[in-house]
Parts: sequence; C-alpha cells; structure tokens
Amino acid sequence: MIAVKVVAPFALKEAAPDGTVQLPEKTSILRLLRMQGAPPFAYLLPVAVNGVQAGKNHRLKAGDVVVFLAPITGG
Amino acid sequence: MIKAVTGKILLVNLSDAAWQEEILPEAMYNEFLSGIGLGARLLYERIPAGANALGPDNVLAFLSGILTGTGALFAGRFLVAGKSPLTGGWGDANCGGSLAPAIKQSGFDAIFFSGMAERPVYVHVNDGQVTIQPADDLWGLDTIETEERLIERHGKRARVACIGPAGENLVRFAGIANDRGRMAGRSGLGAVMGSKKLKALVLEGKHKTSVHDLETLKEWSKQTANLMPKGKSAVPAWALAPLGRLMSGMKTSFRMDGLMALGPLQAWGTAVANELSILIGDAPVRNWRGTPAMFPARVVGLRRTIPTQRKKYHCVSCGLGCGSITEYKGRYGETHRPEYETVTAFGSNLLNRNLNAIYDMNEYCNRMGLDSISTGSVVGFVMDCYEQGLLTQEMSGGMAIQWGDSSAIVRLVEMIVQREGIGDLLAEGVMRASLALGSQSERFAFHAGGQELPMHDPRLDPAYGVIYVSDATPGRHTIHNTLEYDMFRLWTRVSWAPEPPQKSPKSDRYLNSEENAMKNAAGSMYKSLLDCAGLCLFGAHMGVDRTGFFELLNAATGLDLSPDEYMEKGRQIQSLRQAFNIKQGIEPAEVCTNPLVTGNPPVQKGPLRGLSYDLHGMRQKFWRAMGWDEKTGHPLTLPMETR
Repeated sequence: MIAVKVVAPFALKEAAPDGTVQLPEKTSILRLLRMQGAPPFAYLLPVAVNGVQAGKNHRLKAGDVVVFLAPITGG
Repeated sequence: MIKAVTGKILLVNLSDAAWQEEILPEAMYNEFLSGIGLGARLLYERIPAGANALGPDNVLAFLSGILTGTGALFAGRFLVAGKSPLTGGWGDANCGGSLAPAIKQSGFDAIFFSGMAERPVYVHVNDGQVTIQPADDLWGLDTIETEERLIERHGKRARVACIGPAGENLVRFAGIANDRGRMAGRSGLGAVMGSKKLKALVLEGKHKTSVHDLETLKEWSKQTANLMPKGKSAVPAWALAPLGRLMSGMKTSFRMDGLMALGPLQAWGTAVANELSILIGDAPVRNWRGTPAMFPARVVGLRRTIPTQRKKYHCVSCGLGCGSITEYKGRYGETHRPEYETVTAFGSNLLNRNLNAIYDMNEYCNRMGLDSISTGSVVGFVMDCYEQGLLTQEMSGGMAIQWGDSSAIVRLVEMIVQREGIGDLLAEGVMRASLALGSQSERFAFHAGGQELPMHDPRLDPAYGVIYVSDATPGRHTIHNTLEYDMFRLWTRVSWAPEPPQKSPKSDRYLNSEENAMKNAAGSMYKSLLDCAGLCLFGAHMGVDRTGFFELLNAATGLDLSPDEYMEKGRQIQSLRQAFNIKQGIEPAEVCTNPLVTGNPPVQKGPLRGLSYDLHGMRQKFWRAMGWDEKTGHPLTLPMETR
C-alpha cells in the first residue's frame, strides 16, 4: 500500500483528516475516484499531481500530492 | 529590538519642508508588529479628531510589512494608510509590485507625511537621506510618465510611488500607483497625497533586513515554493465556466482548498473569475439591479482574454506570478491585465460588451491614478440615474448616457479626472453625488459608509455583506469571505477558529450563527496580521499550515508567540482601526449599505432568486466575536489602555 495526499472539492470515503489516502501501489487517478466514492462531477475535474498536469490514467506513487482543480471566483 | 525591522520611521512635514527620524520603542513593535499595526497605532494617536481628510492635519503613511525583505515568499505588498476622504474614517489600501522592500531598503519601516506643501513636490529618500524636490514639471503627468521621468532622473534602482491627475484634482477615489500603473486603489488615499501636493515618493537604498532564524525562513519558503504549479496549466480554459456553474448549482458546498485554484490563478490571474462570476450571480450586473441574463458573460471569458496576454510577470518575492501585460486595440495599445474587479466594474456592471473599451478604461484609470472599482461604480450610478430621469442630458453637458455605451463611459471618466462639468460632482463618489441628486437617487447608490462596493454580491456570500459594513474601511472585498476562510485553514493552528465541515448545505452561510460570527472574526483578525506582514492574499490562500505563516513571523522577528497570541494582536489592531473611526465621529452602527444587497427586497429571477440574510443580526454577532460591544460596535478596551 502507498499513501498519497488528496486535495479535492468533494468528500473522500476513506481519507484521513489531512487528506491522506491509502491505496494499492500504481493505482490510477480514475481508480482512486471510484474507490473513494467520488460524485459524478469529480470525474470532470482537471487534476495535477505534484503540481504537474496529469491524466486520469496517471499511476500514483507513494508521497504524491493529488490536487483536483476547481473553478473559484474572487479577485 | 526585534529583528526584521529597522526600528525607525521617517516623518516628513510638507508644510515646512522638514523631516526627522523617529526611533520607536521596542514595545511598540512587540505589540503591533509593523505594517498596518504600526500604522494603526501611530495614526490613531497623531491624526486629530475631526481632521479634514484633504487638509494638513491628515497624515499619510507608507508602510512596509514585517516579513518584507526577509526572504519570505509572497511578502511583497506595501500599504498606504490615512484618513479616507471617501468615508471620513480609517482608510488603507495595499499593492504589489516592487515598492514594498524599497521602503525598508531606504532605511525605514514606514514613512509618514503630514502638512501640505505650497507647490508640488516629490520626496526622495536614499539610505536615510531625505530631500524634498520641486515637482512643478511632473504635475499633470500621468503615473507612468511620472515614474519614467523620476527613474530617468534617479536611476533604474529607484522605486517610485506616485499619483496621477485624479489625485492632483482631489478625486475622492484616487489611488497611489507604482510599477507603471499598479494601484493601491481603495480609500481615496491618492487624493490625500494630492491635497499635500506630494506628486511622488522616490526610494533608494541598500539597508538590509536582518532576521532571527534564517534557516527556518528558508525552509518554509522552500516548502511553499514546492507547492507552486509547474508547467502548463492543468485546466483547459474552456472548462472553467461550465464546471463552476455545475458546482454552484449544487445545494451542497464543499470545503475549498487554495491548492485547487493555484494553477488557473498562475496561468490567467483573476481573469479566471470574469465569466463564472457573472453566471453564478457573484458579479453585479447593471449597477447591481440586473440579472446574468442581461449580459453575455462569454465576452469577458478566458477564450476572449487569453489571446490578449503578451508577457507574464511576478511581484517581488512572489512564487506564483499571476500578473501579465496584455495587448488591446485602443489608445495605449497595452495594459496590465485587468483584474476581475475592473473587468466587472466596467463590464457587466455597465452592460458594456466592448472588451477593448474595458481594457482601455483599465489603462486610463491606472495612468490617471483612479480606483477602478469606485470609478466603474460611479458610472453605473450615473447610468441608472440618467435612465430614471434624475440626471438630465442638460446636466451631463448634452451627452446621452445609455447602458453599455462605451464612448459615454470613456467620456464620463475623463470628465471625472478633470472635474469637468458633471464630472466635478461624480469625483465626489457615489454617496456625495447621491446626496446632491436627491433622495430618489439613493436606491441606485451602492456604497458602504461612503466607499463604493466591490464586485462581489453578498447575496451569494453574506460574509461579504457583514464585512462590507463592519470593517473600519467599509466596502472592501479583501478582508474576509467564506471561500477564503476555507482556504486560510486557520483551524490547523488557531485553537478557537472553527473548522468547516468537508461538505455542508449552502444554506448554512445564511445563518446568523455563532460559528459564522467566529469565522468572520477570525478572518478579520488574520487579515490584519497579513497586512502587518505585507503578505499577498493569494499566497495566504495556501493555508497557514502550508506556508508556515505564524512560524515565519517568529523566525523573522525572534518573537516566540503562539498563533493564538498573534491572533489576539490581530484583534487589537482591528480594535484600533475601529477606534480611529469612532474618534473621527463615525458611529459603527450607523454605517450601512444599500438594502438591495442584503436581499431586501429579494430578487425574483436568476441565481440570487429569493436569497437574503439578516445583516444587522450578523453584524452584532460579529462585533461580539471581536470582543466589541454588540450594540454599538465600540471596542471595549484598546491596546494602549490595557498596558
């Protein structure tokens, strides 16, 4: 198992309070979404892993920071 | 003496062209840190009650943050403060660019101007040496021309803050510019500078800022830098508006995290919000009285604005770089990419679909030294009054003023800058113009305590409404709101700050609850600490636990305070700003805003349909959470009285 940190604008089923999620090695982002019971709109959100754009088939490794990007207002 | 400060300030009396240094006691820094804290402490004491904001008794301060120049990331904002000619109370504004470190490098933590010069002057400070120079040749130049002339005269290392013709002509919403038209816009402090006949402040110097624990500072800055997005934005620009609309349509809101927004912000700045904010009801349409259906949001969307970007830039000490230079078809050809506030104030707020005209107004306001938020709001007020027959074509000098008419917008703003014709009245701001046009015009006047409202509708987030009428500088959007509370993550460090749930009904925002009051109070206290530090709000979006904000303060200064103790300082500084207003004759309970933005009466159409909140009750709870009298808003104790 590996630990990755997930920052997302939706609830994760099995995340620690700091967003850490335990996953099997080489889990893809798509599988992460399924495992965590993500809502349908989450599949549409763009993702960055360690600050770099990533596709939903990107395989995660231990220590990755996965950020689902959300449109916000402000400024 | 604590580290990260010079320990002294510069006082310049322009009436007798005299200046002196003042060494401040260490206790003052311990209690108020620097930046806005120092400003509040000294201006509360030194501006007499009833002082004319545009007279010699007002004092104008340029303040650097305590983290500025220490190597801490995002600590590149300077502040200006004084009595506001718009509100008659506490006025402050801040801005990025490259001026902030130059204040400390010139040898001082802050520079204060009192009195009034007889003829235009500029003040040059170089490593503690001060000269007051004639500025007759600069008077009348725009902000960019002024800066270019002074840099030509003093060299490329010089940093310049200056006013344009709007400040010279005492337009009550004039700002102070640096870095070729970047504006400390709010509160009308450019008019204060103009009243003193102070055209510019030029700073040079090599004073170094020493810190207590450089390794800790470096470590936190490195961690923060590692959070910055790398490479191409992960977000396709076309996806932002539909995704945002989808999420805003849900009845549940999810706790937001600043990391989610960094990529788009880095790529496109606050322009990311232009289109979405209209669609979801955040952006005012047609002087706050319209609905999104009246304005095609796509005309200010990213697909229109991205192709205009020519060159990106960073402020000093910034790891993100949300700024850019953009090109447009018009008289100046290029401008700083207009912020969301400007695009909305001159776009949907006026039903103006002409993007080139919006960009042109951005550059014109920058060059003339105008706050674009107030300027767009004043024009919206005029358009409404004209439509309702309260302002006639004769009063406007024969000009028809129709919604969306970009040539009328340009002409009105030019008249405001020169105080020409109806522009002379409009240069007084919405509140005073409404008083002159009669009570019928009040319902078209959108301001809080005299300052025009920013471009965020409190019916979508009542926290804005509470702060608009409760902060010592009313009508400000950069103090606190629900989204930013989520992103600041104060609960990870501050024992009493409420932790928002991961998801909650959107209706929770509208509750007059103790929890919402505590959030508003925490946000307000934290904002004053950011302004003590000179920190950028966008940097703060990453959260106090990721940027190490409180740890940075200790590492820079050598203080050994807990986050709770720092937040208490934030509360004391807010109390002082509030007490400043009371001293100047402003009763906090009498500060009000247009009832429409509280949902009274509720709108019948669009995304804000039926939304309202109890502003009066929420403000009372906020005051109580701040430790102030809940009925009057008066602080119960002031820091100087508790010593």
